[in-house]
Amino acid sequence: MSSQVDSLALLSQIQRKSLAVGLVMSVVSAWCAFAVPGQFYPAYLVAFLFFWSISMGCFALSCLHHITGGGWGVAIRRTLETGASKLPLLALLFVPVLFGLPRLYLWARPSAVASDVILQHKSAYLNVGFFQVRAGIYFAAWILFASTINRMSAKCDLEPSIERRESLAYMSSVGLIVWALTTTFASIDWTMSLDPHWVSGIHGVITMAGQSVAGTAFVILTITLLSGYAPIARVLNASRLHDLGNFLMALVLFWAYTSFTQYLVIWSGNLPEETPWYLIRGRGGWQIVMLLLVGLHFIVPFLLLLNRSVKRKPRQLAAVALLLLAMRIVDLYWQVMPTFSPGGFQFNWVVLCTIPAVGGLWLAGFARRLPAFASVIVDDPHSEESHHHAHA
Amino acid sequence: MTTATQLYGLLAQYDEPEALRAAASQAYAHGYRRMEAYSPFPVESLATALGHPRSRLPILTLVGGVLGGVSGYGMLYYASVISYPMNVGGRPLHSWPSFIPITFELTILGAALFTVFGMLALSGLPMPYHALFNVPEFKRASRDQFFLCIQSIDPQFDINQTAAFLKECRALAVHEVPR
Repeated sequence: MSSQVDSLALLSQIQRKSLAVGLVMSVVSAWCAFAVPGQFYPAYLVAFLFFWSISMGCFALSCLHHITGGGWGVAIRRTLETGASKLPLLALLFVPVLFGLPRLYLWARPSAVASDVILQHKSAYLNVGFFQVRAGIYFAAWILFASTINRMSAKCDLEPSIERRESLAYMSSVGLIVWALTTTFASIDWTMSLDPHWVSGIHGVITMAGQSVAGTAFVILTITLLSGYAPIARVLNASRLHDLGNFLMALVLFWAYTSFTQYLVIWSGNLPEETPWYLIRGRGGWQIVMLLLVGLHFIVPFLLLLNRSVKRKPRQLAAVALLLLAMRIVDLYWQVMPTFSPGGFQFNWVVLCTIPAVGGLWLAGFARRLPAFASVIVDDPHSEESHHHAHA
Repeated sequence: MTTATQLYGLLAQYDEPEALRAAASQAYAHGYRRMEAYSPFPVESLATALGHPRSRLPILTLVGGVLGGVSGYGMLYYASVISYPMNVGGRPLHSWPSFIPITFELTILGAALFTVFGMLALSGLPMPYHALFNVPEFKRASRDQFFLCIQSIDPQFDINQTAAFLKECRALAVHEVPR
């Protein structure tokens, strides 16, 4: 019982500290928004996309677990649901992006559109009003599904029944379809349209892969941090960690596979409207970031996760998860920033303010919400299996 | 009563996976090493209870994957750079991005073939004759019964003592397995 109290104390400490960091950095970021708006808005977009992708990854994985079941999800289900429950906060955190549309997106600048025939043709979709409506629709769908599924899942614990479980699985499968469609369109709107001449059919899938990596890595970090404390300690053991490690490895492979496919298709096509996206991201120092992604977002974590012992030791698995979370930021930075410095790599120092700002607020909300859910499910058909593993 | 040399081993029968696992742990603790368990479905951690060493199969899978990948890339390099160089769209002959999909697929193929055939080889399959099938009850190992066999080649094996030991381990029945 005392360790339960310890974990609550730890979470409330995290909540207080990250709220303080988030608020202070928000003030600094707000100052940046007025002092250096050209730097601020891309930096803010990177920070927003990163924490958005964690929440979305958590949402998708929780849906997946509700559909497939399996002992792997029992220890992490509440953490996933808590991550997904931060989507209303993210809707609020999206507002600053709306203020910066002309600074972020070429198609939102009337002067640029006037001199560009392609942008004129695309303006039926890429215009400020429709962009805002679409963002509203995405957030409405995510919040609706995340809150409904979380509520149904909590009900399943309180009054378990087969009908409840089946309707939860049904709602989750609809949720996954909605997730795939909305993420595809959101990625077209928010990142692909940064270079409005560029098109890539697989970009949405890469975004989904990135979200899943971010969500899984974040959940692994959270539960290893809480692994010494009461509710998690009871269900977490080497073979559960092994499952999550395998999951993370599969997702890293999925990310690498889709990312390389995009590169291969554009490289073989060799078309003038597609290749510039890679050309500006592969020169002037950006190629080092690209190689960093290949090495540290794919090769190194892949080789580490091939090791059985790495996947079974909480500290080592947490270290790989931390590396991957850091590389998620680098990946988003590499997707967004070259648009604003196509001539060569420049470090946008404002990310050092916007990431702690968005992250502090997000993490404070997360730590506040986590204990409100009972962190581990008491009465779950898979819970039995998970506990059983602990003694095996 | 047959003598120990004519026997393959002694086969203990159980009707619960838990009982089989408990018996395997007890037999291991008692010093028996040359033994094997048979069940209609995988029983969690039974291999650990039997004291089986970690399988060498993952190493074979890795070797197969590496061989497949290297030979895939090598084949493409040989075909498009050495044996039949052809200018395609002005690209270099050694255009590595277009080699990756086939390299990847041959990596998977190599790993899969080594895994399947490695599994067969490490398990000594195909095996047209096995002494265990001399016990009529053994057929139920693929239906609803669980078996633990202590082989006569185990240094600790003694027909009377081992049979008594297996009965102590709450076996429903202990069968002699003729060679």
